[in-house]
Amino acid sequence: MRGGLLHLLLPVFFALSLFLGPYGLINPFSHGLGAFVLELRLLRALAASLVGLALAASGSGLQALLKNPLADPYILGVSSGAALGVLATIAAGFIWPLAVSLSALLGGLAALALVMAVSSALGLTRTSMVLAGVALSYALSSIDMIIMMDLGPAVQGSLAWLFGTVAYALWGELAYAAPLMAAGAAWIFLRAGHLESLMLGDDVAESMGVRARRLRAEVAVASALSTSAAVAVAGPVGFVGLVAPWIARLGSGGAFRRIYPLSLSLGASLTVAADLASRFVEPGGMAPLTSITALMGAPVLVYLLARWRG
Amino acid sequence: MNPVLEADSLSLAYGGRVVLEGLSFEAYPGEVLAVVGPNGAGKTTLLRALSGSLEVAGGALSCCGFSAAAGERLGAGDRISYAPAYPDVDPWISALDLVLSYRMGPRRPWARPSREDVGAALESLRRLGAAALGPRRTSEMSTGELKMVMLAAALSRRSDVLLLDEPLAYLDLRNQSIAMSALRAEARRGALVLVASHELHLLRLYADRVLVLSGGRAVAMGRVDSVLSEDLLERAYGVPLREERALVPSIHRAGGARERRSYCNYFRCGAPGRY
Amino acid sequence: MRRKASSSVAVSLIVVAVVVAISAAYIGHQLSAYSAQVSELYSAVSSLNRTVASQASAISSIASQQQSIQSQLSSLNRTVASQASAISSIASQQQSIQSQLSSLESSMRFPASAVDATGQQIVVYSEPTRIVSLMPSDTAILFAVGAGPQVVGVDKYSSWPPCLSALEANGTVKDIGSGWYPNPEVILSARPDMVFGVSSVPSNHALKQQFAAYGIPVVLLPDNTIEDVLQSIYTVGRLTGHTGTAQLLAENVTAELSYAEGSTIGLNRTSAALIVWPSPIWVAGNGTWEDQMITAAGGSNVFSKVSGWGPVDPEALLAARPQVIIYAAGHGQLNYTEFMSTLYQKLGPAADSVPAIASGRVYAVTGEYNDWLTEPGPFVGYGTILLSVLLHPEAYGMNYTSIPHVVSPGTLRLPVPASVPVISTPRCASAVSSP
Repeated sequence: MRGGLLHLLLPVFFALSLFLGPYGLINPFSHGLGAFVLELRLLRALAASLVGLALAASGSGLQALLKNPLADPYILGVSSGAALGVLATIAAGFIWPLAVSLSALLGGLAALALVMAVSSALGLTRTSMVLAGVALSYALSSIDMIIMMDLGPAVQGSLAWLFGTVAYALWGELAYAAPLMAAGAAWIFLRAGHLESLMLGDDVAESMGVRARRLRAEVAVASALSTSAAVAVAGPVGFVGLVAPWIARLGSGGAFRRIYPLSLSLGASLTVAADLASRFVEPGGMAPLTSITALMGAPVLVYLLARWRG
Repeated sequence: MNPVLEADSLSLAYGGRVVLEGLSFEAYPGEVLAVVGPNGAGKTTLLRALSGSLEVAGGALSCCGFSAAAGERLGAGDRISYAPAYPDVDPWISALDLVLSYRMGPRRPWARPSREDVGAALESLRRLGAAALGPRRTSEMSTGELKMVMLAAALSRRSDVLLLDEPLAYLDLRNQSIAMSALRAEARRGALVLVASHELHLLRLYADRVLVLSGGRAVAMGRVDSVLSEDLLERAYGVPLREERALVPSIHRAGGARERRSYCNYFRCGAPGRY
Repeated sequence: MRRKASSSVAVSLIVVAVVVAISAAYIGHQLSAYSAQVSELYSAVSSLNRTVASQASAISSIASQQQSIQSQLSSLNRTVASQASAISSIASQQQSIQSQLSSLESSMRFPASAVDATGQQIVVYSEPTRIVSLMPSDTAILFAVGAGPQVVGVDKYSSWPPCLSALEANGTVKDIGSGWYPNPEVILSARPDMVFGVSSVPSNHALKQQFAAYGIPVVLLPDNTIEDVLQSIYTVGRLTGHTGTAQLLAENVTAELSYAEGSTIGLNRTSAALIVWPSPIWVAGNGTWEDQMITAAGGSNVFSKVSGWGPVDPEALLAARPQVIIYAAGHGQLNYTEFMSTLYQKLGPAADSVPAIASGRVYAVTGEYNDWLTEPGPFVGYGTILLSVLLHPEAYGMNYTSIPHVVSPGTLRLPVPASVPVISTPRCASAVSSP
């Protein structure tokens, strides 16, 4: 019941995000500049909800898969791979938005391919996936750091992207990223029953006809697909993929088929709300999205956990 | 009566190593079949093959109208329910959701539990005296409680064949008897109940037949009271059972026969009733 | 005498009226012909040139007519000082002619076109009146070419011209936050018709693509080399309607550069390090305007192997052995004393093996001088002169011991002769009063 009401957060925040901003209130029937600002806000809100949805999808998929409530979409090395792609592109002198976002996508997927290769060499178990992901993430982030040191002042320009923002979303970007995000989320949804069985243990799931190794590979690919596309649009926005499945889980018994839709909608609402807040917490209206999602998500999570314990 | 489960010179391998070889047996609906043997004898491997999570390495296996030859897995769907020895479940799922997820199986991603599903799940938890655990998360249960919930989950599907790996381990005396009674009831319903266990005394009370595995082969199969002799167990486990009493601490030896029996029941001194 | 005078006034009035009527008709004719050509002009820039030429001759003929009117007027003034009312009416007519002239002139300046750093051809059909600047260097160029009154928004780091803070205080110019991460909506709330950014910042490219959908041109100026700066000055001048001032400014910058070069010609090159951030030490390397400035000032950059701006190990200073270390200290990081103590902390006693440290030729450049060195704006010429003074004080009849360690407009006056052009600080009063 309460879960059902939480779905209403998304339309509420979406509408607020269309109405509020540094430009002020806009008459929805206005023409000229007002209409353009409204279009920009619509684009932002759409991008934020898709990004949140994609991150929540891959977060809940991976948490169920790895039975690790601390797993998040970046555990597969997607984030540092995407960052490496972007920094390498900027270092090579290509700084157009499309080049940046495509390199994020390619970097993220390439990192995943590497993680999957390492992990399957180790047997594609939960431990091997986490191990390969964490190891590769560290390796890639250290390369990121080297490039950042060499980029000099130009890195300041790419920081906006590295901190996460949907302020510069473009229709063109969304047009190719949205299908990827949706495909990843839908793929995980189609495997929802299998993932729920996997929560009962590998042996039990196998006895029900679930092929655990193949499922792991599938969900990892699907989640990396949606995560990379989200990173390509908004940069590496943290915490959404971790906290949205958690909040959804605390309100229910934790069966995957029931928490998945709610965590998608919560992820989208959280990101839209964070984008909305980012316009006001800092005078320039450009607070990094990641810091806002963490600032908003962490207290909610702690409160829910405390209430659940008590 | 036709057998519900048939193994014909079945060989099983795990991790490239042959674990069981030339195993042939039949099992019938309505019986409780115990699988015993020392650690590493291949009990779990056998159960995993029967559950369909392990490929058949050689010979043939058939169950409930499904069959698997070498290189295949037995895919009997929800006709078989399996509960592993060590439940490796999600730490945040509640007992009720765990049973429901088990009952509903992996199909249909959009499925919601029906009234019937919820009723069956609650009934199943109640039968095992675990109804109070319903809303609790698995990470907040003791291993014994979790085993009972897992057993309830396996029973909730009302399958033709129940495969239970060490269902009595970690359970206290009361829960052991609740569990075995529930399994007996399943057998009465017409299901084949296959139990791999080391609790020989309880098996002697509750099982109909027993399959003894040792060194990768079946060393005996038959009715419990005829097969579970000290001779055979000594050979199967490689332990001098008749000297075991020497291991019992003196404080217990000093007690009456009744206390000794209960102690031995608890510590698997051997076949109960001989002392 | 009086009658004769009044009749001659009447005659000249008629003459003036006829001249005005003819020129007005001529202008009207030209304007209508022009407006008919506008659509073709937009499509073909080459045809614009032809029109411009013919209009220019029209202007010169009008100007010569105006001159003759003026000479007649002055003769009238001499002969009839008492006919003030008539004269004032003539003067008002003259004003109207002038306003027509200037409107014709501005219609000639637009449409204007220029190519920005992304290679995009930007065409402006009328004078932009609401300009937003994303970078301090863009703001400085805009004000220096005289487009200040057209600016309605600047980033929060822009500090030149000094009147900017007054303009922001009275609401004429809006602070749009950081230009590194500009918020599109905040920029739009200044209702811009043109935005200037730089090509080295990714977010400015993103903004360009976003605003393209609404037809607000975002001009990205190149910002790596001195040539880029000159190019930027021309581009800004053309697009804002200040071609002449921009031309002058670019010539001035070139003149300043050659003054610095000429003063140090024939002298041994002084090896120098330009430190743009103290801890960790970041230096200006190859491919930067600072590197070019050092070369033009008769120095040689010891870190020319560093590509762009980059961090160097303090030990690299020991190996590079610069004769002069210039530390741009303008962003409130370490002051001179703190900077020196970090150098000693990092290098220990070995610090004195660096010639610059041993001879005391380490300079912390602050205040406006800092911006001259660190902004690819209209002051690169001055910055070069400043560097040439620090690297070769002997060329200006000074000894390096007379140069203070903290170099700012308050402690060191540039020894520039009258021949070196001076960038006038834009008249803030007029900028402040303009709407």
